[in-house]
Parts: sequence; C-alpha cells; structure tokens
Amino acid sequence: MKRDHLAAESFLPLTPSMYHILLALGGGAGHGYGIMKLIEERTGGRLKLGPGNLYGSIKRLLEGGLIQEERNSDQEPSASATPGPGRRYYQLTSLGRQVARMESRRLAELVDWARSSRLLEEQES
Amino acid sequence: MEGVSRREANARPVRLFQLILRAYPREFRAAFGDEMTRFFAACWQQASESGGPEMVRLLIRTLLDFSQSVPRQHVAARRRRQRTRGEPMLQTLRQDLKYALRGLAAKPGFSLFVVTSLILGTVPVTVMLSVVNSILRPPRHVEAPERLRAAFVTGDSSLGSQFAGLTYPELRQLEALQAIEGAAGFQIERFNWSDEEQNQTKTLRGLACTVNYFDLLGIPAGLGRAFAEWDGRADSQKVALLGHAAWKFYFEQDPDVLGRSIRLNGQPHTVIGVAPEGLTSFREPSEADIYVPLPEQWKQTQSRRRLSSLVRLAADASEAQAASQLQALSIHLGETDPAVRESRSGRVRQLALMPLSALRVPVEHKTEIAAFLSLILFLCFLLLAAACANLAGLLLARGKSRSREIAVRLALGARRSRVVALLLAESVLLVAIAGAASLLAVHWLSQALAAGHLLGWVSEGVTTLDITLDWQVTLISLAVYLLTGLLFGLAPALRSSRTELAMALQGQRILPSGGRRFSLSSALVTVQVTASMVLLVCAGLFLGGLERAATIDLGFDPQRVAVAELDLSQGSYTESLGRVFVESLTNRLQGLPQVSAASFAVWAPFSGSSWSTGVRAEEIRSAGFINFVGPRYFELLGMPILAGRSFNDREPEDGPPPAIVNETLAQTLWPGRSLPEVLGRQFVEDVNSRPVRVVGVVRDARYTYLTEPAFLHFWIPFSSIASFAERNADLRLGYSHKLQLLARSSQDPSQLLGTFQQSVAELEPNLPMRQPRLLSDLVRERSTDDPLLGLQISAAGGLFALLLAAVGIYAVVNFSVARRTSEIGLRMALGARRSDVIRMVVRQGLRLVIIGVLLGIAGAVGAAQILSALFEGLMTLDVPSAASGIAVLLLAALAAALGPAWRASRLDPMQTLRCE
Repeated sequence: MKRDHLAAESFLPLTPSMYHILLALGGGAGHGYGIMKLIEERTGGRLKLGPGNLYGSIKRLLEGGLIQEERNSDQEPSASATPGPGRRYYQLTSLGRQVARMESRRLAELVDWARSSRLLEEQES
Repeated sequence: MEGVSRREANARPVRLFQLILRAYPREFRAAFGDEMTRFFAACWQQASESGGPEMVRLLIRTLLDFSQSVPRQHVAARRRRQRTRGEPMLQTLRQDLKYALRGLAAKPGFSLFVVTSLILGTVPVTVMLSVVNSILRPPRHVEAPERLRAAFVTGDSSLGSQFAGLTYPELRQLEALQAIEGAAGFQIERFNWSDEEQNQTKTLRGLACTVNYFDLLGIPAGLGRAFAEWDGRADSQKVALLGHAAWKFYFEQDPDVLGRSIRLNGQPHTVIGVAPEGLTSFREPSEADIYVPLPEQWKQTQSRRRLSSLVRLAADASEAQAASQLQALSIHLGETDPAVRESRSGRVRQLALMPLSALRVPVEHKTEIAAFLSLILFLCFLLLAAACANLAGLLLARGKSRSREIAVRLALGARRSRVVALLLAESVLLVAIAGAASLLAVHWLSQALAAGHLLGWVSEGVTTLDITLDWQVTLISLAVYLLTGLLFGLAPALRSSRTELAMALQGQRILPSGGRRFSLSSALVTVQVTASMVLLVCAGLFLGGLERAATIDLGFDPQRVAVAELDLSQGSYTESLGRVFVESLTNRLQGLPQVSAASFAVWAPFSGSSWSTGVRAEEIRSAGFINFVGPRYFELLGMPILAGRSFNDREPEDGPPPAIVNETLAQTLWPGRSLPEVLGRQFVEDVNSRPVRVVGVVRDARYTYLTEPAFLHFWIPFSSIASFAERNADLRLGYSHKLQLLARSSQDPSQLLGTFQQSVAELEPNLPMRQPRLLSDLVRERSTDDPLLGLQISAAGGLFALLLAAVGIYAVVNFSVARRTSEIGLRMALGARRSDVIRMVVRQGLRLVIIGVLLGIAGAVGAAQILSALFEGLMTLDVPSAASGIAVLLLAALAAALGPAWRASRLDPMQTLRCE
C-alpha cells in the first residue's frame, strides 16, 4: 500500500490536461472525442483540447499506467462506417483513480487555503 | 457523428490534417494517427454544422495545438531513445558480438576464407598508406616541425635543378633575416670507415651538416653531445656523431664508444655522441649512419657546393613576412653574386621556402610522384573494395540461408534494427579480425620493406627506410576497414532483415523478386568485376611498358659496364695529384685481363646526376648538358660517332677546347646543316662564356631516363676541365670532386665489381667510393623499377580480384539456379533441351560480367591516361591489352557459371516439379 502511494505521488502534480482527462474518465470509459467533448462541456468551453495535446496526454497516461485501453468494448457501435480498426476506448486503472484522488485532494487543500486567506471570497465579491 | 464517413474522410481539411500528422514521431503516429484523424474529422463535422467562423476557429486551434505538441512529442521520443540506449545497448552489442563469434566459429571454412580474402585486401592499402606517410612525415623528435621549412634557390636552371639548395654563405645570409630564427644545411655523403677490429673498410651513408643542425631541429643527442660551434673548424679536432642504427649494428650499443677515434676516409674522427633513435634525414625516410660537421672548404664563398637547406621561422614571424624578406634577399643576392649578375641569359635567382616534404619529393617531380602514388593507392583501394564486395556477397548468401532464423526473430517481436545490428556485428567482427591480422602483417612487412629498397631509394650500410606503422596510419587503416566493413555489411544486413515472414516461416523458398534483373548480389559481383578489370588492364599496361622499355634503344650499350663513384674531395688531393691518381687508376683497370675498356666522366648516364648549362651559337641559344670525360669514353659505352672523331689521348692545349656534340645539339644550333658540315664550327658554353670547337658528332642517346625527350648534350675532354672552372669552385682544382669511374668487362660483369673495388683500394685504401654498380642495373632501376612495382601490385591484385569475382559469379548463378529449379524443370518438361538450359544459365553469368567490364573499361582508360602521362609513351592503352583483360574476365565468368549450368541441365523435370 505504501509503495502504491509512493508510485502515485510521483505523478503529482498533474498537468491540467492530464488531470482533466482523468476526471473525464472518472465516470466510466470513453474515447478521445468523447473525452474532449466532456471536458469542454464541464469547463464551459474554456478548455478545448486539440488532438495533439489530447493524445499526447493520453500517451503519457497510458505509459504511466494511469489509464488503459478497453479492448472489447460493448459501447462500440456494431456497424461502424469507419474503415480500419475500431475506435479506442480508455478507462481509469486503480493507480489512475488513486492519482486522480490525490491530485483532487491536493487541489482541494489549495482551495481551502485560498478560502482561508480570503482570496476566494474577494474574487467572488 | 460516430465514425468517419468516406465523404468526410475525403474532405480536404482532413487530408490536410493527415499530411500535418507526418510531423509527429513515427511511433506516435503509428499509435494515435488514426484516432487523431477520426477525432479531427468529428470536430470538423461539428464545426461545419455550426458554420464558417467556427471552422476557422477549429483550424486555428488545431494549428496551435500542433505547434505545441509536435516538438513535445519529438523531445519525448528522443528521451525515450536515449533511455533505451546506453547500458542496455552495450549489453546488446556484447550479446550480438558473442552470437556473431559463435556463428563464425560454427563455420570455420567460411570464416577462414573471408578473413583471408579480407587480409589480402587490407594489407596493400595499409602498406601504401605507410609508404605515403613515411614520405610526407617530418622526422621524429623534431621540435615544432610546423615552423620548419625547406629553402631552395629557384629560377636558375644552370644550377642543375629548378629547385637547387643554398650555398653555405647564402644560408648565413638567410639566417640574418628577422623572420628566420635559424638555418641549417646538410648533404648526404658516403664515408669509408676503416673498421680496424675487423680489418675491413665499410661504406657509411651519412650527413655532412652545419654544426647547428641538431640545435635547429631542437634535438639533443641520444648519447653524448651534439655538435658545438667550434666543431668542424680547420684547427679543431675532427668529430663525428653516430646514427642510432649504426651504433646498434656496428658497436652493439656500447656506451663507451664516446671518445673513441674512428677513421673516416682515412682521417681520425672522435665520436662525440649518438643521434637519437629513428631520426630520419629530411631527404630520405631513413636514418643516417654518421654525422660530420660540414668541411671547411665547403663554407668558402667560392664554393658552389649546394646544401639541402632547412630554415626555422621565428616564433612571431608569419609566412608572408618571411616570404617578403626572402624576396628582398633574393634581389640582394642578385646584386652581389657576380655569377648571377653576369649571367647573360638573364636568369633571375630567387629564394623560396617550401614545406619540408619538398626535400623528399623533388618539386619538379611532385605531380608525377603524387600521381603515381595515388594510382597505386587507388589500385589498392580497388582491391579492398573487391575483397569487401566478396564479404558482402557471402554475407548476403548467408543471410538468405538464415532467412528462417531471421523470420523467427522478427515474428517473436525483434525490431528490424536489432536484426540488422546482429547481422552487421558479424561483418564488422570479420573485418575487425582481418584488420588486426593485417595490421600485424603490415608491421612485419614494413620491417621487411625497410631492409630492401623502394621507389628508387637506395639503402646502403645499415641505413633503413623508416616505413613503420605509426598510430596515424593504424588509425586511418582501422577507420578504412571499419567503414568498408559497415558499408558492405549494411546492405546485406538490410536485405536479409526484409524477409517475407509467412513464407520464410513455412520454409518456402522466396520467389524471384518480380523480374528484378539487377539484385544486390549482382551489384556486388559488378564491383569485383570492375576492380579486377581495372587491375588486370593496369597489369597489362605495366607489362607492356616493361616490354617496351626493354626494346627502347638507349643509344649506348649498358651491358657488362660497371660504374663507381669516387669522391676526391674527401682525400687530400691537389690538382696534379688528383689527375695522376685518376689516370693511373684507369690505366691499372685497363691493364686487367677481364677489362676491355676503362674510362671516367664527371657524370655517367643513369647515375642520377647530370650537369646542365646553356649553349649559344650566333643567334641561337638553348639549354644543354655538359660532361667532362676521359679517353675512350664513347668507345667504352658503345656510342657511335656519326661524323668527325672521338677524343685523343693528347688533345691540343691551345685554341678552343674540342667538343663532341650529339645530333640534337648539331641540329638545334645549326639547323639545316648536315652533320659533317657542323665539324669545326664553334659555339659558346654559356655559364663560363667559353667557346668550344666541334670535332665530332655522336648519335643521340638516352642519358638520364628512358623516356626522356631529345636534349642537347656535349662532351669536353677531362683534361680541359680547368677552363670551365671559373664559375665553378668545385671544378677549380682541375678535376671534379666526384668522378664516375667506368669499366667494360669482356667476361662476367659481376666479377668486375670486386676487382674494381680492389684496384681502388690498392691505390688509395681510404678513398670513399660508392659501391660499384652495373650500368645495366642503374638503367633498370631508373626505368623499370616503378613499372615493376606497379606490375606486381596490379597483377597480383588483378588475379586476386578475378578469383573473388569468379567466386561471386559462381555464388550468384548457383543461387539463381537453385531458385529457378522448378522453372527449369518446367522448361525441360515442355521440351527445352539440356543445351538450352546450359545456355540460359551461362548467359546469366555473362550478363553479370558485362556491366562490370564496361565500368572497368572506363576505369582502365582513366588509369591508362595517368600511366601514359607518367611513363611518357611507354604505356598506352591498346586494343590487345584491353581485349585480353575482357577475355580473361569472360572466361572466368564462363568457368564460374558452367558448374551450376551443368547441374541445372542434369535436373530431372519430374523430380523438380514434384518438389514444388
């Protein structure tokens, strides 16, 4: 457990796009376009990931073992018009879930601090 | 929205996107390219639904995204590559080498053949590189050689050379220049050393040098001391330094040799030191046996003795400064030297600095020597290329036989680069083994070469050519080996790693690759054929040149004539004594039963020296050569007198001295006159402004080298030499210091050499005499040694390359027969006759040769041009020699292809068809 924790900690802090991808996959597996759409929706259109950034981050998350490809997905539409291999779906691994949780906690702590320094209120007012 | 429809994928932006995708690293593209395209297509579709502005925004956003992520991915990819290299790479390399070594050990025959052929290919290159290096390299031990230059007097052909050395007084003047730190001169001399312990007289080859020689080079003596300022003065004790090799050879490295007295040319010299080991002279890449200070009489202003000259530029002086100061001094010399001032032909004498190598490679012959050496080097490289092509061909064949193994490796996930590295390791290992062996061989060979002589450098005494394998040559050779190993190993490795997986795994033969006629193995065979073609044609050229050289009419008969050089300046001779000595010596020789004629001359044909001067008659002026000869000179050499008479024993003392001229001189000075009409006419020897009278015309001959153009030559009786001494202090005593003694034998000339030496020793035991040589040997050395070397290299190389080419042709044809077994079977089943099959296979073998032969002809024409320029007309590419080269190659190809063809014709059609 201790070792897992250390491994997870080594990813922190996450880049914004990586964090957002993890968040987007928190609710279940998704494909690249879906992830982008979800992030765009949740951030009110403020963060629109381009293909290079999105797949660059996905690559790093895959390499780090934070997410994995879901091969035989049921969500794949049966008669895809797309030639070639089917669309790829990604899902969080337990390590990814842990990293996302730790990053969220870290950010929450920062938000708490901001709040206690009345920075957040000032801005809101 | 799900997926990308065909229509959308064809949309222009998506295609553009796919194009830009190429900017990403390959792995990234492979992993996510399709996904990203799909991603973009979806975005584009959505944007196009929302309208134009959104589409533009998407494009801008995507471009921005690209500009950030492309560099990032490249950095990441490079980092990843670096991580995978390093330690694991060393490990895999070790693994590869181990595997390659095991593979080679499993096939010792193959390995031995390849290594042997590679050794034969690499040794000549390294030997020639060492030879070139030894010529160009300044002597070892010299301090700051980059500031040393050779100094020459140029522009005055009456000095005997376009680039003559400086006299001692000129050297001293040079030293006074600001830009010049010091100047030293030396001359290579022969010394007779009376070894009292063994009661023998030995010839030592050494340097008479200015006393600052060692100081200028910054070399301390290896033992004892170098020369001091007072050494060499007339009133001081005579001293000498021993060369290291001579000390080792004659004195067994006895340190007590210091202070010992040795007799050189009959005079006692005290040994004061030993030169450091390997100190070669600046003229020849060999060690001097002995060093003595310059004799006092050479230093006098009247002396015309020209020394090989070295100068050291001052540390703060630039080359340009030195050149401008030298220019000023040239003018100064011209004003003070009466010989220059009065010179009527208006010659301008100039001082020039040259690189040190100009002392070893005479400037006049620099281009010829460079061309000859590069040609030989080129031939050696051709040989190496042939050997490496052979290696590559064999590796290719091996790769084919290993296609299953390679396929398994690839199927198990090995990257192609790993497989290539593995295959490459084998060729590099082979080349490395062969390279190490050939470096050893060269080390041994260079020592053997050092003992003999090469390219006309005579080694006498214990002097040795310093053609050692130094680290530079070793490094260059190793680089050459490894480069060729990689170069020729890479293509087969790449080819072999491109195996059709499924077929190879199923054990199927790879089908002929779609009508490709010119495969890699054919290309390699072409290299071998080209190399052997060029080498063979060159061998033919050299052989033809040697044959032609043997038939060239010299204009005199060198057979059974012995020549020996005497140096009277080393004895204590006055004019009268010297003349008496020379006369009594010739008389003594003449009296010997085996000697049919004896005479002497200032220079002998093909002895390596000649005396140039100018001549004029009325309005006609020309350069020419002068020689002073004893009685019976023309009879001895068998030079026919065409008009007039030969010299008598007693020529009249009054009036202009008599001269015998050659045809060219007669025709140049008096054009249109017949030879008898020329008799009695006078012309002027330019240097001394001395009129001479023609008493005879002799037939033109070759005097210095075999293919020389017709020059003007004339001869004056030796007794008249004093009248030509005004401008030449070395003649002033009434005889030349150096005399060539000539004698013709009526019997076996080799016996003559012994009696020759004996007669001189009986008269004057301490007189330095150069080893007597047969004139025929001198002619041979000056005319046929270089072509002979070329012949040996190109003939041996050509045959070797031919063998390799034959092996290559055999391998290619054999492989193709094996590959086409079923096709041949089918043809035979359909009624092809055996002769048809043989013809078909042989034709394939010959086709391989044709391109190589065509390329080879182009190369041979180039080589022939260089050769015919070098050996002036001796060697021209003629149809027979080229045709014989082609014929030899075609025959070899035929022989190599016949075996497989025969086997193919014996195939049983039913059997082969069933096989498939």
